[in-house]
Amino acid sequence: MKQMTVKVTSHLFEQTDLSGEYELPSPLGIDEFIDRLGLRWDVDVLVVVNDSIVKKTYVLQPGDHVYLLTPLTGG
Amino acid sequence: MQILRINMASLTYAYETVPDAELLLGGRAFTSKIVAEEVPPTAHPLGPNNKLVLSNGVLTGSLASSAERSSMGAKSPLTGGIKESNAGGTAGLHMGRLGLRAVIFEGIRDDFQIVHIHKDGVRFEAADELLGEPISVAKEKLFETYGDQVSFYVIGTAGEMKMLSAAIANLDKDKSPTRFYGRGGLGAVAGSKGIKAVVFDDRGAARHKPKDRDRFRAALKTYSTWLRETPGTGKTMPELGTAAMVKTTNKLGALPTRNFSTGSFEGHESISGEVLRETILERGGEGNPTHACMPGCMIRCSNIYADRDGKKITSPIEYENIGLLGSNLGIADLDQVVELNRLCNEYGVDTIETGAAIGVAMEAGVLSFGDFEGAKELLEGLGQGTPLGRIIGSGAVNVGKIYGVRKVPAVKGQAMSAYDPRAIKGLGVTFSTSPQGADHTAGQTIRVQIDHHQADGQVETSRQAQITNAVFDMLGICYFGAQAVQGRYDLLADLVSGYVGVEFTADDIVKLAKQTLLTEVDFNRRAGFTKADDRLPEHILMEENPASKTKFDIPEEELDSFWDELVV
Repeated sequence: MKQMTVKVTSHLFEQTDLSGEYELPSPLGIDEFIDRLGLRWDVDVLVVVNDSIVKKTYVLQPGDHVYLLTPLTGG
Repeated sequence: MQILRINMASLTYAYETVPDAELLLGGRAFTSKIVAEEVPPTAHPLGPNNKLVLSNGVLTGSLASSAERSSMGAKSPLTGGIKESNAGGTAGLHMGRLGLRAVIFEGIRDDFQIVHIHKDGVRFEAADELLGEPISVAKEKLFETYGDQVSFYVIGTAGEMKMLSAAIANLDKDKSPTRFYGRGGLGAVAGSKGIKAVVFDDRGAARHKPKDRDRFRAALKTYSTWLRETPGTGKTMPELGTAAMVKTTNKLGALPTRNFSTGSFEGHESISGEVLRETILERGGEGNPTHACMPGCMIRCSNIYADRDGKKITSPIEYENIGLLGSNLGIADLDQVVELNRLCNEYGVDTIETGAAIGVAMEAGVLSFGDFEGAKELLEGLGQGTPLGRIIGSGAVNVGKIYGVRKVPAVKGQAMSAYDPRAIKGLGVTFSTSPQGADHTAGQTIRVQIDHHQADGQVETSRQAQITNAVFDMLGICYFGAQAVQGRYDLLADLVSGYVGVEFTADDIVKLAKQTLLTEVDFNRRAGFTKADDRLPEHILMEENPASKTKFDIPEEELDSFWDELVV
């Protein structure tokens, strides 16, 4: 199976240790990756890849930068 | 449940009883209905034909978590349209204990009064001793006179001077007068009516209890579980407050920076929710990163910010204040943001409008971006009523007109809150179409897991968000709870029915929310608003946001038909 590297930056409170580089099998859907991180899609996190919020169906690409953002109805 | 009508010209009052069938009319649903039915749309906002309507939400007083909010409504002197502004705190709770769903103020006068509402009626007392004082001083004097068991609404010097950015304050649960009905200049409407303070003295009044205690308690248990188990309401907001948004909006290119010229701020880390929390914890003393603004609130997104000696400066430091008084002004020092926030609180002005107004002044070259001392001087001038201070207190649009600045971040005369609409396009739709003018609390979309940089789906997302916000605004629940409720309105119907003792369904709630929105749109049209008012500023439409690399590209015809497609 092919491997790829993606980078993660976590802004989640008390979960910034999720930041780092991950070696992952390719292809891999973003939803499965989020699940592997122990996070619930659209509950625990807003997911940005590179500069855009992505859909659950997004397939990770080598070199992607995943940002884990705080999901808030805030302000 | 009663409605109290007070004529400020004659200093007389009368009570009306709320029919059972109308018990769902609370908060924004009530204020907008009264304004639409009783205020001529062409009335001068500071004239005798405008009315200031205070209304509790349906659940205000129930002590359900996050449900102690109350609404203020009037024709806005800032927008010229209908306005509702709501806040947490304790005044609504005390008003409810007096058996009041709402208070409607009519007429105008030149002097200032303290309106003292107690269980046996209303007294009017001259407010001369409070005039010209910072709100914190006025609070102490009110406590000296009425005791510290009362709660109240109070305006600052900005309201006395009828500035268009003037707000109305009430007490948080720790008796700090820092919960604001900030938007739309309603403090000026209170000032025009000679209302310096409205004191709710509920000593001797009977305590409210749910009419169907078992049903209410069962629904409350589920509702509380949802709030506790949702990460945003159960963990992030209690720990970081709304300032947790800073890193999210900065990443999305939506953090207003230097008069909305871009959406990413190089100094955002130092004004982030994480640094805010660390600073408060390091300093200790009277500071607290987790604070409830109203009794029983589980979300506790508020905070108390202390100086280096641990002495309280002000409360709360929120995302919007950080965005408008920080990054929007090019200020990256948290203590400086807090000081500007404190001055806004003391003079009683909307932090969003004021931050935007100073940003436009910076764009004009009156002072430089990042000039904290200059911004502080402007605010001090506002509090004193100097000519330049009055210009700032007149809001962002007027500052732009006076200084010949075309880049003014406002819609319908009201400044945008802290989201660049080119990066969060659903909020751009809300800013454009809301009858309230540009305001995130009219229809917040940032929580939705969609690509905020794309146009697809944003119109419907905003429409649903505007309905959701109207639901929460009428019930008196903080809309931050929406992320836990997730549209499961059957439970809210159970809470309401159990509390008021009259059967209301989820459909009844949603239908009334939609009707309220259409009532507001209709008022504005009768006041002279057209589709041309449902547009973002021209420069925002023409220029790309350099941080998100996006333009606002929602088709105009979709904005034009926005309200036509809302089916009740």
